[in-house]
Amino acid sequence: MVLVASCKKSAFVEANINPSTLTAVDPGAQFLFASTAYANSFEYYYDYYRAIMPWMQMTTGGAGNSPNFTNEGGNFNYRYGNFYGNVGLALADIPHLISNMTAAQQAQRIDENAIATIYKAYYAFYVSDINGSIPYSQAFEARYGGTLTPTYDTQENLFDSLDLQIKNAVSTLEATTESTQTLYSGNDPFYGGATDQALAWEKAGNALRLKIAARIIKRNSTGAATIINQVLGDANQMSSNADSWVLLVGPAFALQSGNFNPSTFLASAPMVNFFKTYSDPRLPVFFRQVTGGGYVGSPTDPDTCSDAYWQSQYTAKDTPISQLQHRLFTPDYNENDGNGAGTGVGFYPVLTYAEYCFLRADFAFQGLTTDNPSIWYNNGVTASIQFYDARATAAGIVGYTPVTATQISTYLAQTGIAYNATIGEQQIACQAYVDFFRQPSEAWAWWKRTGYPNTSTVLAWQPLTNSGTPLVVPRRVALTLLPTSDANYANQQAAYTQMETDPGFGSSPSDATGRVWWDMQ
Amino acid sequence: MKRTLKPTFAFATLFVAFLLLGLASHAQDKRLVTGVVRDSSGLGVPGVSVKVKGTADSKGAITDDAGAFSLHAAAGEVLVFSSIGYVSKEATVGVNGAVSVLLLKNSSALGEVVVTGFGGRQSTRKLSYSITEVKGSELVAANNSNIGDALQGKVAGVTISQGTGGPSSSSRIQIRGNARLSGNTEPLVVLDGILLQPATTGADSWGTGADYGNIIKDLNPDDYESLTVLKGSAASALYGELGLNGVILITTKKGHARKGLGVTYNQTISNDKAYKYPDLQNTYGGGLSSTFKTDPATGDRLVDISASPYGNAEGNGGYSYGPQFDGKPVKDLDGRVIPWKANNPLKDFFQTGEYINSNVAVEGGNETSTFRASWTNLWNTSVMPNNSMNKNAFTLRATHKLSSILSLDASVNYTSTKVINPIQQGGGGDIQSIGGQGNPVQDFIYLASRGADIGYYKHNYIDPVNGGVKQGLTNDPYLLAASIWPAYQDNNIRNENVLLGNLDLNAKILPWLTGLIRANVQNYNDETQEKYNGPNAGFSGGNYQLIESDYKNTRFQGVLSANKKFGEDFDLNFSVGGETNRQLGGNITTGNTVGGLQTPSLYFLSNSVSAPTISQTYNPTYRYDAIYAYGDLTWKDQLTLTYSLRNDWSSSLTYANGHGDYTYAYPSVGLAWVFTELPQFKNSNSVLSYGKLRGSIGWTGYDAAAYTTNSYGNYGSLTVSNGTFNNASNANQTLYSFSDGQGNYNTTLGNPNLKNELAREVEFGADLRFLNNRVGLDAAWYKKNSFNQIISLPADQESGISSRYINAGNIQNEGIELLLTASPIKTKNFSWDMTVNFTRNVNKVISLYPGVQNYQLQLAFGADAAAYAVAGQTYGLVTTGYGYAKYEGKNSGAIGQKVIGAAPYGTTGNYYTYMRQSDYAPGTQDTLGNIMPRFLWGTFQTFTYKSFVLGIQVDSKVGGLLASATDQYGSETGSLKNTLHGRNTALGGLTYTDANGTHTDGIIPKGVFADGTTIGGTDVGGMTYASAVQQGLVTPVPAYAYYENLYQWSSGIRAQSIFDNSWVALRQVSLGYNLPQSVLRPLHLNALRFTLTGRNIIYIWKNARDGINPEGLYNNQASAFAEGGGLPLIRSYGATLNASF
Repeated sequence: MVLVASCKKSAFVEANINPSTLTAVDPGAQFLFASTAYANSFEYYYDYYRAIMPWMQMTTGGAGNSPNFTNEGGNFNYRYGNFYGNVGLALADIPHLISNMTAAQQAQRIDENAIATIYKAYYAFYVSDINGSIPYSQAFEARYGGTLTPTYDTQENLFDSLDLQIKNAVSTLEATTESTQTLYSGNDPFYGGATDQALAWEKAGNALRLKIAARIIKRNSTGAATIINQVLGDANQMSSNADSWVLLVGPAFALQSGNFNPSTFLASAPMVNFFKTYSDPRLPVFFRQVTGGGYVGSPTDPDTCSDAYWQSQYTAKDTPISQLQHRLFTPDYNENDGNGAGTGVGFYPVLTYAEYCFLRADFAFQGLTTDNPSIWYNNGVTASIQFYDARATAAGIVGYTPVTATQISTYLAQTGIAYNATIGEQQIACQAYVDFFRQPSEAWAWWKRTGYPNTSTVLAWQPLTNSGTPLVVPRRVALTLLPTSDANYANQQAAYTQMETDPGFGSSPSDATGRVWWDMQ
Repeated sequence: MKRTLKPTFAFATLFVAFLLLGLASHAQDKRLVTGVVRDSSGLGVPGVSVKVKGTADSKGAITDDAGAFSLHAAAGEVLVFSSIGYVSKEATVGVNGAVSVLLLKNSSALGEVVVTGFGGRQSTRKLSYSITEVKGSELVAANNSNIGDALQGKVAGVTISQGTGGPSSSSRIQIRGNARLSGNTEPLVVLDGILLQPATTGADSWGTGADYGNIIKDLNPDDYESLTVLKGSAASALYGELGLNGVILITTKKGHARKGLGVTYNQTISNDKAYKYPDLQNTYGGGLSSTFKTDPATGDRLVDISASPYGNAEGNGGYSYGPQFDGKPVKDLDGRVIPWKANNPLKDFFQTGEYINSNVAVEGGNETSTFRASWTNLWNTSVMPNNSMNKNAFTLRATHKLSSILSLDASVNYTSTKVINPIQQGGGGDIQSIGGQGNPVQDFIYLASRGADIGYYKHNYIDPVNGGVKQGLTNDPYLLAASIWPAYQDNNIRNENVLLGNLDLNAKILPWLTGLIRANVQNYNDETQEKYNGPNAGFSGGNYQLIESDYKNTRFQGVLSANKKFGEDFDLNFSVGGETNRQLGGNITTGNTVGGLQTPSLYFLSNSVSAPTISQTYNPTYRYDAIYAYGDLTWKDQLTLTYSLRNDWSSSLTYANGHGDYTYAYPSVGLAWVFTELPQFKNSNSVLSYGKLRGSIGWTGYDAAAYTTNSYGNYGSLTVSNGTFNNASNANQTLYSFSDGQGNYNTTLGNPNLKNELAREVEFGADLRFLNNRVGLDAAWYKKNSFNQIISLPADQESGISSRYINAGNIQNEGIELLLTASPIKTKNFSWDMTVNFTRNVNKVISLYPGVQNYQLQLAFGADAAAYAVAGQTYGLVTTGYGYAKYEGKNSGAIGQKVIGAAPYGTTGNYYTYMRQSDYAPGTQDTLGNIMPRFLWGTFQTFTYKSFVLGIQVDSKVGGLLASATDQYGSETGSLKNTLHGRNTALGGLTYTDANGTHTDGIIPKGVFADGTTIGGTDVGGMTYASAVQQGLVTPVPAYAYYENLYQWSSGIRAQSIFDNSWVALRQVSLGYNLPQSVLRPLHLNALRFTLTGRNIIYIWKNARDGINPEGLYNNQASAFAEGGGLPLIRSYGATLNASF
């Protein structure tokens, strides 16, 4: 008993050491975690498959679109939690991890810091894009002694700040000598395989600035032009699909058994009809043939969906409507064709070369640059087809035949597809829209900005009605309110009140048909 | 693997063998007197000393486990039976040499003792707190492998919630409410000095979970002598923090000094029958139209596609609003012609479960040594096909006197338990995951319409052409194959091995001074395998998972005790001691195949298609030491002062850098006064035959969970929560980020200054006996407050942390416990004994943390409803944003009415429905009530007539909310009876006409439209739906859409399925018969008893909606208040044989 009392504290301390706990990790570990968190299966299911893709008439539900499908009904906006809980949080830790290193080590981690800044800026932009004001400058600091109740940055200030951060990060990357730098290499699933990782991120950073600039054109076209010309003055520009910012994953990442599985959704008639009209080589990449061959899209208009013919099609025993190409989304998909589970590579685009081309085409069309819109349009369409062609092959789509150069040139030569300056903007937007099949949120943003596609564009949407009444497609998140007892209630209220001063904001924070700052009427 | 022996056969053989053994060993004893000593409930009393009056000790005997004894005596000699706690009795040996004795409990309480403290016996007179002792035989009589369930209704102050995941499932044991906010408030279980902490198990609100149960299922009630429940802090404080939720002290049986070997054999065979399903409607089959379409070619009546989940545009289950059942042939969606009748899941799918428990114990001993060896085999299947638990428990307990000073008491328990396919609790109803695990009750009630042929798919769920599970509309129209496949093809198997060893060295140093040195070890390991056959063509796509976990704990204790009388009036007990507890930790290793199995149906890791993943975490190491002093001082045998002081040192409050407040002390003190020792009560005419008043106050400290201080805020691998990253080269990269140190991503912020928690409990009570002890009343009042709880408090995620550890709160439990005992009739041949217990506990949250009002305890329906601890209110307030919205708009006459409007995401048929509160007034929630029961009561009635004993137990819970996912799913598509109303004119449906014609299934929702609702240009805000119908603006809502909108995932009102759950249960009826000695003697048996037992017989009254199982919680966490299917209501009937040789 006396023995017990006299026991040394150190024995107790030792018993409580968790052998699985690390007090520090390499910044690359956090970067890898943040990168893999880019593809969130819940976001895919609830935001993309179930909301944005049907709203953008890319797909419909398994029984068409229901009369209320344009409602933003909760389980939406997974990106918000993914930013604060996963992506942003891990990236925000990188500067702190580096600052705990020796001065010599810190000097080798300058590039890693800059790369983390670019990715974090992208995701903050992506979240604010549909949320408006969000906590940013005071966010993620509780772990380091900072506030538990961060204030919200307005979207205007945030976009400004993000642009500057990316600009500085690109300059930093360009200024460092790579041989002195430790880079993420294998911990960077975006560009870890690139021969010059820093250069790849310089190009991605520049492209990202163009993307942000495009958002603010309506609010501040001069400011947008300044950014665009600054970026284009830099030597390091995306120039091929090899420069595309894409997360590549193995076959066990997005499993058929999980939320990424697209098999309960159907191809839309607007997309299928457009593809069929112009023999678009992306048709077999995006969609599957129906039993007996050929492609059929589901109507997107709820009133059409509910008619007896289509109801019988939705409930028919064989599938008479094209499904999404399973393996493009879940490469392990077992098609029950005797080939078993797939072993291909999956992908999640962040900012591709094709998008870069369409941005430049659009800027050129609007006279913000001196580029030739036709060239960048053609570059964009070609890059998009080649991108999806490569991804389809890598994903192991059964029976897929690679696209030939002739197919692309034939496609581009057709009336309607060939660039026509009088309808240039809608052509650019519609091709961007098709390219954004795997980034539906970006298609949504272009539609908000340009109004394309619509019911009279080259890729024609169907008018959406419910019992004859036109349906309104959401433009932002139906913002939720914190309970009044929440510690950060006051900051959120202040942010919402500020946004409500914008007449376009909508009837209330929860009005998803309202607009955020950049989406000016 | 098949069992090689059927247990019934094996044990019948054994039984015969022991009979023969008995014949052989007793054949030559001619003047042997045998007999049985029983208590008033007819059960044998072990350990009773039997002596021949007026002779030396050596002629005596001690009764065995069954209460049987044998000794040499002549006819006419008088035997004296005595045992602590019982009134001594004499009996004369008859001519036939057989004696049967009824010993009555010593209710004068003079000699009444109970096991308490560190396992020693203590006179109840001296106790200043309330404890309850239950005999081991009473627990065994419940025919239940789970002592938690067996305790139900027996002890005032203890709330039991049964497990519903099959035989292995763990029950929730709550002693005096929830003193902590933690999910686990199970009491400490102490088995012969070995400390066991039961875990919480089961599903959560999001999906399914197989409940393998906790360590309680690995214990063996056949070996229990007695079980004592220590409720208050003054009683449990000696056990330190683990006793904060109360203590269950189990004392196992020992051998006794006796002639020859005593052999007891107990055999129970019992059947579990599922007798009640939720209230299904059995009138209307699958579909939406009351008439059949016919096949133009064959004239067959055709089942409509809307009977199938594939035909439900909203993605829900199949509808049951079709044609009325008539028993005539129809062509089903799978092309088979079947009679049109309602299915019966109880008959079509569930089976009769078996409980076969066999126990053999051999004991013996002499003056210096005793032993008892016991083997128990339990074979337990449930009403769910392919679900079983098989347990083998071996026990050896031996005592030996080393010298006049030293003696040893050693015991070893080894249990090997195999659990196969515990029921998936919760979840289910998932159309997406073909072959995925789901709860069968929910699947049948939700996915399948009422006419779906469950019986056919039970045997025809495999695709006969392609292999794998039947898939698709034409092969599996009701997803029955998908629901049934997992029961047979997704096997979850766990093997557990538990070794408990204890060694006590007792020293009688001086007549007044004793010492105890105790050392024990528990060694645990389990191996869990998930063998999932491939559901796809060619049985591809299977999965294999292997999890191995082990740990080892030790406890070493020393106590020195003194007992001294001072003068005539004072009696002092004083003990000092100390102990060290070490959790030595162990590994948890998990291996998983990825991407399916290369060769189907072969289950090993290297059969994985992609590289298998392996992850490893640790069962934590932990150490806590304590020193203590305790005892009592009694004055004149009537006034006793009890006291204890304990000081703990805990590893879990230290930090890696060496700091931390890791030691803390806490006392208890109490007073017991037997006031009937006063002269004025010594009058023999006094109605009051015994009276004691008691009061105590005790504190208990509590530390953090092991590793808490060194895990949060740090980093680690994420192999458990996020798995690994399968990169583009198909290689798996381990992910590292913020971690809880157990392989899970966790962004909780640690706290560098955590301190111990402290609970304080005040208790007052009285123990009164009247009318010469024929009536007794024990009453207790207590108030327990727990301060400074170590909790993880949620933070706003934008700050970069999900939550942070803090010391916070003051949780209070205040309550009363009453125990009334009475013996209304006592004659030579007939007696009637009864007890009634009553419990009321009020669990309040006095405060949480500055600026924090709510702490979320547990969720229901995903995250649609939750139970909270709310500062200033009762623990377990249920709130939901998905209750009925209450109108608060421009029409002042309509304020408070239910609001009707458009649900934001998907209403069936685009009809208006009731709005949810959080959609109507964002940010607001409804508070529906409380999860905690208002009070509990139970009664036992025992009737003894000669050798027959009839026992009846009724227990009851009143109050407390239950959230039922089954109710939501079952009401959604017309399966449950409550959806009959409004289907047609006869059932109250309204007639209306729309574009498709005239209908009779109209229902008018009772409520007013939300402001801003416009129909055909008319603003209907604040107008009732009925007025809008009158004005021709809307039609009544068809019944199917009304119910689907009211209950479905996207628009349903969850409050509709959260309801008060009270019941009165006829828990147990048993009839026992002791064969008379005249029959036994020729058979050379000492005792033979037959018992028929019915358990969970029926609910005499219950108010759960729609026949939902009122005791179907899907886990045993402190604040669980939801069910998700579980199992149907089950009753069991069985027979038990107890034999002693």
